[in-house]
Amino acid sequence: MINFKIFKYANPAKFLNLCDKIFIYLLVSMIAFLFFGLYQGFFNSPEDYQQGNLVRIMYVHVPSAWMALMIYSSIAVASCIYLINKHLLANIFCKSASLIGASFTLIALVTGSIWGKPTWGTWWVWDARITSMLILFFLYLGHMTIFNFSENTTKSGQAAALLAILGFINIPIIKFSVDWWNTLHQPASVIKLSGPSIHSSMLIPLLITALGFFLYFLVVLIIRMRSEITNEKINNLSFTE
Amino acid sequence: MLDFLNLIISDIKISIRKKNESIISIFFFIFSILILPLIFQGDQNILKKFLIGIIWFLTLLTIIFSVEKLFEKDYEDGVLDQIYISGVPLETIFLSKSLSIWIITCFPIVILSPLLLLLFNLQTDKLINIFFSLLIGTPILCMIGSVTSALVLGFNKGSSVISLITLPLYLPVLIFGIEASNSEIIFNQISQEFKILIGYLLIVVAVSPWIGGLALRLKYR
Repeated sequence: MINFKIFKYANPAKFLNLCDKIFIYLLVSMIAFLFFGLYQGFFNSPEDYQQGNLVRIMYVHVPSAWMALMIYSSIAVASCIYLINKHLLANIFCKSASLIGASFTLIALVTGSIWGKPTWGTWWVWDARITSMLILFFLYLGHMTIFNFSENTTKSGQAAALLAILGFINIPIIKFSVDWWNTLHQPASVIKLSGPSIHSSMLIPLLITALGFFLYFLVVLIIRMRSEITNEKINNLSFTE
Repeated sequence: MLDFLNLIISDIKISIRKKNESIISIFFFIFSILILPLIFQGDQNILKKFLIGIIWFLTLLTIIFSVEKLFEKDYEDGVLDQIYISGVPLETIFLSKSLSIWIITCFPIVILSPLLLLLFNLQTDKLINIFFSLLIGTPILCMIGSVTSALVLGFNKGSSVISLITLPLYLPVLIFGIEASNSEIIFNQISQEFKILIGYLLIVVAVSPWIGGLALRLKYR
């Protein structure tokens, strides 16, 4: 058993209580960050000297790609916690976060191909970063299918947790794919050891939008987890009767 | 330890006597390689260019075919239950199963593929590369495939689900395996791609018995 202080919220009732308290703050700050970040990005940031206005796709593309990677990593961590400590809430987190992660991956892929058409000349290139993102999308799909395998939530949840841990090996490959191979996709320019190589007039809106995306994830996650917990309660009721 | 060896030996004996899918799939592999010149209409240059990728892809397919029914058969005729009841840990059962499937299907592939590629006029150092990359890469594929087939065992689902879950997990191995097969060998120095592949193998060998054991436990609860 691992024990952290935060695990006192593993009790669904306490967790719901906490969610009710912070939900409205999350919602308001999400709207504020998203609007401010996207406004700054779309209207107030400078044009790229080569791509012109096209560069503004970045303010949607990059944060959603970050979120896709982050959500999968958090699912893997929550799966470990679920397998070790058997907290029901970790399972519910995996189940509700998976769809959000998959949609962020899809957004990153679609905006990437929209961006790729005018700059690279094609909708799709089979280079390392894009292909590995596609693999991530399929991983999410596999993870979601396992939850539908059986009515028994603990059983399908454990199987999905095992799969998520096994698939975690892909995350570093996606992150470093642009550094390891010489690809068409540009190498990392924000998160790297030597500091960001992007000008602050573009970096600040990007980071604000990324924070907005993260808050959006939290808001949707709380809504989905609430409904999952209610669903679980209904299931338990019908089992006991 | 003795259980482990006995399980492997009995698995090998059974599959040789029954001539089941795992043995037949080797012939699938050999036959598909020999068919290749017909597909490329005898064009040696194109064939040489894509040969390594095709070899890896065929290996992957062969392993998926042989792995998908790995635990299902033993479960259906009750052998798995008997072994489990006799007190062998599920991790040991899992490890022996995936090792025996490696010995039965992959070991012949590893040995045969350089010999088969001799027919296609490849350089000798390329052959050595392919041999070693297959030797390192195929255990990874076997172990991951066994994990997913153990996962699906608990749910009575068809084999198409296995390939949906397994293929995304296989792709990194495929990418690094092909890179390693194409890499240049400099004297006394292992190339970077081989190091990544070996690291991957070590991670999978360390992690997958536990994951596989937990997956089998889903069936027995």
